[in-house]
Amino acid sequence: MVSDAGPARPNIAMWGAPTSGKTTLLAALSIALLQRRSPWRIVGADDASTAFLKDKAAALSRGKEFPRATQAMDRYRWVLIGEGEQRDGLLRRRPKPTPAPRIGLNLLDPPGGVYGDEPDKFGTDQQELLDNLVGSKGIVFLFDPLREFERGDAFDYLYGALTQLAGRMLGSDGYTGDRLPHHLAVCITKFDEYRVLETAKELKLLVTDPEDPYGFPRIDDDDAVELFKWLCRISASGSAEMVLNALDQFFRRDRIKFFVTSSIGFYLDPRTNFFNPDDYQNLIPKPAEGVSFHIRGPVHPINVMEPIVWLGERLAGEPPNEGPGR
Amino acid sequence: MSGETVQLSAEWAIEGKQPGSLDDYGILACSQGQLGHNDFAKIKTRYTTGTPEELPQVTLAWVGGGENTRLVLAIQEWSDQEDRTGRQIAVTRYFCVPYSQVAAQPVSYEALYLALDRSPLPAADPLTFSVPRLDPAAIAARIDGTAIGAAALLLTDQHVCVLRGESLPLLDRLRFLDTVAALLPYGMRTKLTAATWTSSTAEHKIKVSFARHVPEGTHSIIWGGLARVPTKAYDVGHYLDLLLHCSRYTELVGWLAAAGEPLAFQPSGVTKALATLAAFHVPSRSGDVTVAIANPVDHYSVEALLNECADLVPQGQSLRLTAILDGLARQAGARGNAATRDEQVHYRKIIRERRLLEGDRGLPESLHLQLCGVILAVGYGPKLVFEDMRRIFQDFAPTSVLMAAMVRMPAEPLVALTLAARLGPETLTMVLDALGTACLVELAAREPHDPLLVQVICDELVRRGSNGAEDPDIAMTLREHRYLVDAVQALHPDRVEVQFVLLRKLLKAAYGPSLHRREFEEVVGDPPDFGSPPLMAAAITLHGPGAGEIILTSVADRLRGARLPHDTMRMVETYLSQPASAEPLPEPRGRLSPWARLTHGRPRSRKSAQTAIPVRTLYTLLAVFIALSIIEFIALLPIAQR
Amino acid sequence: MTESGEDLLTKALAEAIAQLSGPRRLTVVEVTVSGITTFGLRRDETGTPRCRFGPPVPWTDLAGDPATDPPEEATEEQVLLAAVGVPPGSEVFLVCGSPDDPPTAQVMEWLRAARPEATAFTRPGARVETLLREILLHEPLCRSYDLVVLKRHPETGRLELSSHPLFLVGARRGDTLRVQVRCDHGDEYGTAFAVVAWQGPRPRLLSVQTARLTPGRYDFTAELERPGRVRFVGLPGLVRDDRDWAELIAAVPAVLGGEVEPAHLICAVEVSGAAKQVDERLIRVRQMITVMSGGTTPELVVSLVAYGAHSYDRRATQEPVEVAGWLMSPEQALHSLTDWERRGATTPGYPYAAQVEDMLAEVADRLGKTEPRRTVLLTVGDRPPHPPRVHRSEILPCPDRHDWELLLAWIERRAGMTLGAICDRPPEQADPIWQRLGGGAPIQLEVADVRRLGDDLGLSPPKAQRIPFPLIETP
Repeated sequence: MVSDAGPARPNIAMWGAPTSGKTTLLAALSIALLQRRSPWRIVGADDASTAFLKDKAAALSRGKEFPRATQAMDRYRWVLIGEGEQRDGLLRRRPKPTPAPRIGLNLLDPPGGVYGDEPDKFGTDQQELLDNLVGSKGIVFLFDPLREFERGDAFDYLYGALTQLAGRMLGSDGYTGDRLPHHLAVCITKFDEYRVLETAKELKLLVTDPEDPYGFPRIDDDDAVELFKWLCRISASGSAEMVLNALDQFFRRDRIKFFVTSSIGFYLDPRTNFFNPDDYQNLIPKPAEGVSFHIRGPVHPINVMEPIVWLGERLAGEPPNEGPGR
Repeated sequence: MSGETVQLSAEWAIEGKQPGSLDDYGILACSQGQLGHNDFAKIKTRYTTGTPEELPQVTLAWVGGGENTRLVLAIQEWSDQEDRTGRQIAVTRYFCVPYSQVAAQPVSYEALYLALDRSPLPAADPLTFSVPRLDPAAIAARIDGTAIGAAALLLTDQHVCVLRGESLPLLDRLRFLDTVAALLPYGMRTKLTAATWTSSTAEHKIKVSFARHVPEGTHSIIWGGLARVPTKAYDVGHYLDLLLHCSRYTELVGWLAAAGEPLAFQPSGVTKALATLAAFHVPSRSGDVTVAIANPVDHYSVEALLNECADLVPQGQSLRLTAILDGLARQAGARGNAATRDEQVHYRKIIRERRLLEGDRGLPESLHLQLCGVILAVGYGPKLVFEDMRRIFQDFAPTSVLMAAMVRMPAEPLVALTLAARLGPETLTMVLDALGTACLVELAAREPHDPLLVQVICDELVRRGSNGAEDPDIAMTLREHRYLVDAVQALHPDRVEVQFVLLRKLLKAAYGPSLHRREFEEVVGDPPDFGSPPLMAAAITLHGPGAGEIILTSVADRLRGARLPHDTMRMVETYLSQPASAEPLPEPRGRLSPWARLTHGRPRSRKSAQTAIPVRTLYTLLAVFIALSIIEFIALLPIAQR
Repeated sequence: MTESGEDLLTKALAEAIAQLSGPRRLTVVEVTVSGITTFGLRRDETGTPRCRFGPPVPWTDLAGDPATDPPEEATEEQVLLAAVGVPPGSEVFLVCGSPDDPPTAQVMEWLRAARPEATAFTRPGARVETLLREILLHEPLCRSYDLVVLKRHPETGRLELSSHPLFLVGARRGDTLRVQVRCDHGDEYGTAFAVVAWQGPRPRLLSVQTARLTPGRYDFTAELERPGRVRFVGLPGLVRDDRDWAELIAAVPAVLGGEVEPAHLICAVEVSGAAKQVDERLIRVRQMITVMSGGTTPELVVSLVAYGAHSYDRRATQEPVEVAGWLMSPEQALHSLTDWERRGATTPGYPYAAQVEDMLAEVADRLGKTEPRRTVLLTVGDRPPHPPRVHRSEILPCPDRHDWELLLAWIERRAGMTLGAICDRPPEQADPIWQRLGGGAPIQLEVADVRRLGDDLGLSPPKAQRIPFPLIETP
């Protein structure tokens, strides 16, 4: 038996260096939507995508294990379903439900290495990746500050593929714009980590939502770019500042939005169930060996659904996929 | 066959990552053979099965082409190490075994796995090991409907996904893949990719694998279930039928394992695969029918089944009909050589009267095809002969379904080709591929000539002889059948210029772009045979300058053999070789050839007619030549453009 | 010359020698044919008679040949000059060995005339040197000889410098005495076996010999070789020591008189980590207790604390700090240690730090409940402590929020507290806290010399308390 529909092209691509947390962010998505009592729900559009939502979220929250290193171009087809409004009809007595908004998410989650500058290693895949990037309209770009502290290679994993993408799209005759048409959600990941949170604290960017039952610190999306700039400055290679410039050069400013995210969130003391500024690290080294980490307590994703929903909403308002010909 | 071992070598590589690393997976080490680090990186990328969940898993693939084709076996396992984020590191060991080492001595994937799984890496360079030769009986014992279905579906060249089997032990899944592969000609392993598991969300290039969900655009088959073959895929359906209706699987596996010639999963390869499988079912020379005999035959039951069939067809009861046909097919298979001519005559009567081969019965196409196939086997099996075909077409309209069914049953080459020529290029290719050159030429020369057949055969001969392919059979068999001049003439009566072009193409296919002297002599005959001017002209134009001298020499030799008086002969030789302008000389003068000058475009002697060429045929030849050289020029134009 | 005459001379000499004391001198002038020999005798401060004499002065040196050319007056003068070494006030014996030789007799005459108070003996063939040697060798002691020892005060436990009688007055050559002492770690010279002769209340150092002895009991024999010389039999490696009394006394530390109380050794061992390392740490602790309880330190009391790693896995149980015993005897401690050794490393837990802060909290809590005393906290481990709150090191905070810095500061300030540490890593690679845990000098596990570390920590008599003399047991 052959399944009916042909594979749909992804409209959102995950972009980031290896271990920047692309798959983890996706795995945390359904947890985030459940925990925050969001108006959005997420469902799979095919069996495999549904299974991912179910299994990976469970593994992340229960097994405290990160999703395994992605080894192939994974695709997930999900639908974000909003809440239909219950409006009171003027003449009718019964409230009239409006249809719930639905946003199709067609996500491409490639292994991070494919964005690197070793074409020999990922010869055919990078072409495939570019094809998909050309076809997609939204990009979730993950900036991993920790990797940047240690390696400082975010720029390497951005620029190579970005220039190729720009060459394909901006360089083609049919394209008239001077920037890439994609909407770009820049996610500064690992907000739960000491160095990121402390940096934000020093910059006085932390706020607390009084409505938040856990009292987690947050960074307003408007301030996220500030943190990003600062984190870029203290990168290991010093090339991170160019990341911002490159994003600025290739994407339309009104289509970039910064988010400070954490897929696993802060540790909550089970006794108080409230954020403790003295003890919030949620990532702990595994016993004995100490070279690898696992998640300490329950997962409380921060700002994970926001970039996806933002992209989803932006894309829902866009005309259908056009690619370079527009 | 079992018991023997095969010595093999393998290049290898290890994929993984350093413990505590932030990197992606990469090749950590590899052998220093022809395949380098980058080659293995490409293999890794090309044959990824997705982000692993349960390990170990085994992936079977291939790399390279021609002599450099290698079978790839990848074993992926968890290491006890983790990367920086605590994710367990999977280590994949890649082994590449030259296909040439196993093409003639087939081994199973399972044997390769068992031998290589024991090889820790890094290892010797290259790694050498020995495995037992493929044991057809062991594999045949595992053949079931699922494996047969998967094998047939593979011929669609789409991903075949086996569902609900991913929790089976690794070795069971690997053995299943081995069984599936064994139901295809061995040479298809040069393009086969298979895996004991693939991710349902990842894009991959694995043709057959176990998976949890069906990805879009793939065939699925449930573990323990049967395949549904797409209705349009005749070849696949036919392949499935042939596999299903076989019960001597050990011999079948051995037969397919011996077919080591590399085959692709493209239409041509599939056709060849089908031909290979069909060849197992046709009677061998000794008259034994290789096809399995399942049940004892009941003459009356056949009759009853035929009638039941006829009853069911108008009712459109597909399910019941399928069952009846299965029974009938088994009977027919058994009948094959057991049914007497009388019995078959009786069956044919029923077939004719109950209109069992009638077209347009409102049945699904595949079922209709199956119906025709079974009925034909019963009435006209085991092998369809030309005369029967003729009779069938007297009784029934030659619908495409009927012809397709006929072409699928074992048949005389003439029958198969006659049908295939009318069924379209795919079937035709399949049938042609199964026929040897000698057979084709024989069929073309057969009288009365079937113009369509002649055309098809000529095209095929030209194809076989083109692109530098050397087929010595073409020249030999063409010569035996006088270069098919009669057939060509029957194909294009009264169109000598077209005959010339076609014959010239055939000669090219047989001898290559130009004729050497001996080849020229072979074609024109000694003495030259002027029975077919187009052939002569084709030969001359392919030989080029010097053709005349050869003919003259041949003529002179012939005359010399006639024991003419010495003086006369001397004069004959002199005049044969002397240009018209020269003084008549009593003794022959060297080897100067007037033909040479003529073809070199030298001014012709003013009085060429005066030259004393006493052989009348030469005049004819000359005239024909001049005429044809013009025709040739015109005719060659489109060839050159092609 | 008669026997009795010779005895008379011997007797007279012996008496004269016995009479020597203080500044008194005895001079014996022997006149023979070969010349004049002067013997000077006195007692040194230890009461040992000492005799000094030079070679005989020949006549030729004095006046040529007196027989052939006797310029009498000049010669007489020369002879008297030759006897010039005779100190004034000294009792003088004149002994003439060749009375038959006229020049000798003449010289004798001159001497007699010059020293009329001198006792003169004429004994042909007498050899004064031999006579004196015999007398001195066999003279009974006129002072008692004691061995310098240290004695523990039965009540205060203080060590006091004391002496142990070896030979009393009147003892003679060949007398022996068996002595039992305990020896402990000596100073850089070893243990000094010093013999003093008592002159009233003041001891006079007679001889010093030192030996580097392993601590323990020694049973040896003292033999009086001759007055002024005592030989010890049964003490290995004795060498002569040229220090004087003042130096010896200086080697005896002032602390000796101070209070000595049993030290409290707290061994805190990290029992998480690699099994091999944990085993090694426990071995060191065992060595430390064994070695330090075998010495002279009156008592050692031991406390054993084991600490491991925190677990941040909710499903795993926290392994608290384990106190195997507080203020145990070394034997009990070693017994408890056996259990730990059998158990080996505990569950792994958090890999970057250990419950050092919990251990410090436990130790501080228990110390706070007891009076201050001499205490050594020996920490044996590898990892740093957990910080009390989220920290730059990114080590997770202690679940109980113990603040190791505060705890350690309190412990450091406590009276009588000494810190020591054995760390798996060399000091330059270890976390800085090990500097503090190690009192500024942490020792690396692999190369740890526990005896030395014990010494440094004051567990064995420290440098200031090394015992340079044998100890005498008091009943």
